[in-house]
Amino acid sequence: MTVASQLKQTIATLNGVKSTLEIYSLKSFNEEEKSIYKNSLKTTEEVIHDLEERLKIVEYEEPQYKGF
Amino acid sequence: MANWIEILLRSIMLFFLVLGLTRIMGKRQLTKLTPFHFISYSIIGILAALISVNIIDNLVLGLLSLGTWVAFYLILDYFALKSKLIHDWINGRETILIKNGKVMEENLKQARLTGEELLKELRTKNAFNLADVEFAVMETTGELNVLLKSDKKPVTPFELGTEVSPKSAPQTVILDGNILDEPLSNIGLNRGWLNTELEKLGLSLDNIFIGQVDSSGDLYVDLFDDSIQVSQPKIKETLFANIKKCQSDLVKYALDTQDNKAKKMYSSNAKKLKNLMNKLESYLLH
Repeated sequence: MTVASQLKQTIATLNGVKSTLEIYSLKSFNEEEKSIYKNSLKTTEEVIHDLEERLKIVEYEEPQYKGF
Repeated sequence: MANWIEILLRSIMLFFLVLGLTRIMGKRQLTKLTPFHFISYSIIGILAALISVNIIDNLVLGLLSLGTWVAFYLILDYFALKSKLIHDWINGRETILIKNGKVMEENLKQARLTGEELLKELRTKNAFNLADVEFAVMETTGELNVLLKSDKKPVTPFELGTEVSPKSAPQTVILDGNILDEPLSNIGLNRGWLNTELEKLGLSLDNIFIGQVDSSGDLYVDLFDDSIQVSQPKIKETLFANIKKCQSDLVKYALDTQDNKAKKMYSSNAKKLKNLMNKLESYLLH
């Protein structure tokens, strides 16, 4: 597997993590728990953002691996 | 008036009177009564019994005596709340039986306990070894409370330095196959949500004995038919495993890449996810 496709896989997993966290942050009724999930959501989004930036660079350097 | 009618009427009246009185006199566990409370309760009970079977034939005098006991009980109980001195006077004071790991023989004698009885009481508190006990006190109710030496105490998460998630009480939403609407609306959910969750589990409502929603909004059910295996939600465990996987992926990329800037970015994000894992562990696992 190329670097780009590995990276894409990780980003996809993280997006899954993000949406699950989002569901929990909405449906938990304990305020403390809710805020923990919300903070985690933010951290995950930051990580996803960084990885997507990196993916752009990788795809620019090796355009043959662009896309899926 | 025939005798039996009088007794019947008296009994009915006293039944409701005593019922009302016990409500006013407050909630106390019968096993945790101090002698003062015990005697007051017994005398009120005995007086009520004597009046109702006509042994005290003058109703007014009987009720006067009953009223006096209840009134004094309530007055003293009220002042005991207000003043420590009166509280100690009525209830007595607790006696320290073991201090700094040493048995106080004088106090033991005062509490009318033999050494054997002390050991028996300690054993009921799971302190089989006298050497493990740092402090033991006999409460005014006669109950013995024990503080173990600090190295013999059960470990708490605080001492281990681990974080635990705050647990708020789960809401019971299904009992005996019936949906309880009030707890359901307490947590901002409705029957529609519950029906969807049950459909997801593939269960019908009348097969469920107890259904509870925990603080993170997951439904846990217990069925009448125990031979059916319910798939309890494993979403949290999966979530944690996914975060873990991404974290190790990032560490791997950081090692693989030649680009210094990318290496830094990967390792800082790996650290972020590691912190996230530590924070979420107590919520997602257990």
